[in-house]
Amino acid sequence: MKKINFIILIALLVTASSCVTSLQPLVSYNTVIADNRLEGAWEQDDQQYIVQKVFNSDLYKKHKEDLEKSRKENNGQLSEKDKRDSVLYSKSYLIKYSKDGIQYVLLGSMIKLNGRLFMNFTPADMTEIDTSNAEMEINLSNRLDSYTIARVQFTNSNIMKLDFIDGGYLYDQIKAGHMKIKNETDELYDTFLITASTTELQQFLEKYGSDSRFFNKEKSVTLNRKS
Amino acid sequence: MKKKYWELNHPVLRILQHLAFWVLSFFVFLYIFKTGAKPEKVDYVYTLLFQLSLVPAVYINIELLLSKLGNRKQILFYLFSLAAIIIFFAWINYNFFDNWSAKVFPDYFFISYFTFREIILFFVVYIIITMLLKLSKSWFLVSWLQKELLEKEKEKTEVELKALKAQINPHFFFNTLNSIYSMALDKDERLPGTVLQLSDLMRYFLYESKDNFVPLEKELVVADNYIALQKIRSGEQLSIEVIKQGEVNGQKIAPLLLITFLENAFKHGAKGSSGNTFIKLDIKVEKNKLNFMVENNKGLIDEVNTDDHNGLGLENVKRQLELLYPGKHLLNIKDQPDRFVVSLQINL
Repeated sequence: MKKINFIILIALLVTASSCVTSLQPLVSYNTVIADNRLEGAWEQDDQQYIVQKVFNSDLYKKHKEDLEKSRKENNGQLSEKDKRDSVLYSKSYLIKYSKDGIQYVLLGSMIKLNGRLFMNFTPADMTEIDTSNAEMEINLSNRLDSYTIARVQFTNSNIMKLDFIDGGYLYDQIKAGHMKIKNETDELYDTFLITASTTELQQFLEKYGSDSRFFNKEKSVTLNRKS
Repeated sequence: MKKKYWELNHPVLRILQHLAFWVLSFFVFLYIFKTGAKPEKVDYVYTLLFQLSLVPAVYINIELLLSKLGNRKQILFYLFSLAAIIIFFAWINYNFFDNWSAKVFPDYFFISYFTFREIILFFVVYIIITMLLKLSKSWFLVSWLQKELLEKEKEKTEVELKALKAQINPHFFFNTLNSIYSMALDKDERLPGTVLQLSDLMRYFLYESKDNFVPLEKELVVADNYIALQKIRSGEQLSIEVIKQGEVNGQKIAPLLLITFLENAFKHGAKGSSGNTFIKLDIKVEKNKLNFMVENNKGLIDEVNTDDHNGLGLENVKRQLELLYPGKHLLNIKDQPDRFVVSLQINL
């Protein structure tokens, strides 16, 4: 439960408070798609976001040496998981932004379901920057990955809208016995975590991806391209 | 029997049986499908809808298609139709939960949690279970009807046997009383003893021969009494040879079988003979098998020809053998110009 609380804490830090958190990713290596419109600098209410392809990102470059070293130790062979991750990362994006002296990096992967675009986000890196611009990495290695899901809509190539799945609505439906999806609830904090499989998440969004009740309009994020 | 069959197949009983099956199936599904520790409202709705998609496939199979299975020429048609029905309703199930249900039940959120293959498997398992239930119920009805039929056959046989015995006894007594009448006319001093022997025979016929089977030993004692009675009647003219072999204790036989053949021998041979009359009786018992042979020469005036009940005794005994020893006896009657031989083999 401590892990779940930690995941929820991270999720709360990086996304809107009413977003839903899933233990499984919505996007898998065999369903991920790339969209060049995502790359660039985005802005919302003076908050800036930098979106880069994973393999073009600073974070990847920073860890590239470690990755190569690890690969050499395995006689140049990639494990099946590493192969799948490589495919996923090759089409995924890193979203970087700073808030209250902490720099967040999220890994975002996109999928197209029933003609609509969705992304799932998971924390990839957190760095504390003090007043002297010294960086101190916050260790995320002992956490369990979890994902926040949003519907992506491009008004044009310069305006992108993210509609996060309304966790409050889902939680109410689950509590009322109207929604059949695997989940774990934390009664102490009155929070919950979706534990459905990737396939089930995809099926749910294929079916209900256009249902406005699933998305929190108030917490929608509209990003304008800066460059 | 019709009433009982009707009771077993009463529409209300059938509906209750089917309802019980589907209710049981519903709760089994509910506990398989539930998401949390206990079933929620949505689990009840989902389970009910899932089960509803199974119902038409199951009933089309057991009510319309299953009868085709009895005809070899239609087995392929049956298998093809069944496969088509399974695929069609599994497709309905999959699409309903994956797409259509959002329009029909907008306030309940669920998807198809099973792949198309898995849903087909559900249908196949349900078709098999319901087929087996249907076949076992039919088997139960057929075996019940067979049992009823056997009981009726048994009752019919009992009635027939009683009727046959009722025909044998008077037939024998008429002959014996005729003999006693002759002795009385002749003022034969052996008459009292003869009446006593007849009394013993009557006791056997009237009281002890009611069962389908009597001890072989008793039947042979009665046969001895009968021979003695006939000896007195026929005097010195009659030569009787009796051979008995084997252990008779513990064996059982249908009553009056042997007596009837003996009676027939005396009828043909003793009465009206011109002399040199003989009756040869050979009884051999070995390992639950009785070999009986009676041979007599024919008289000049055969009693049978003057009897109104010509051949009735032998016909009765043949029918008795068919009823009591079906496939377990071998009767051979040789009616030659000068002699009459009956041989009978029975598996006791």
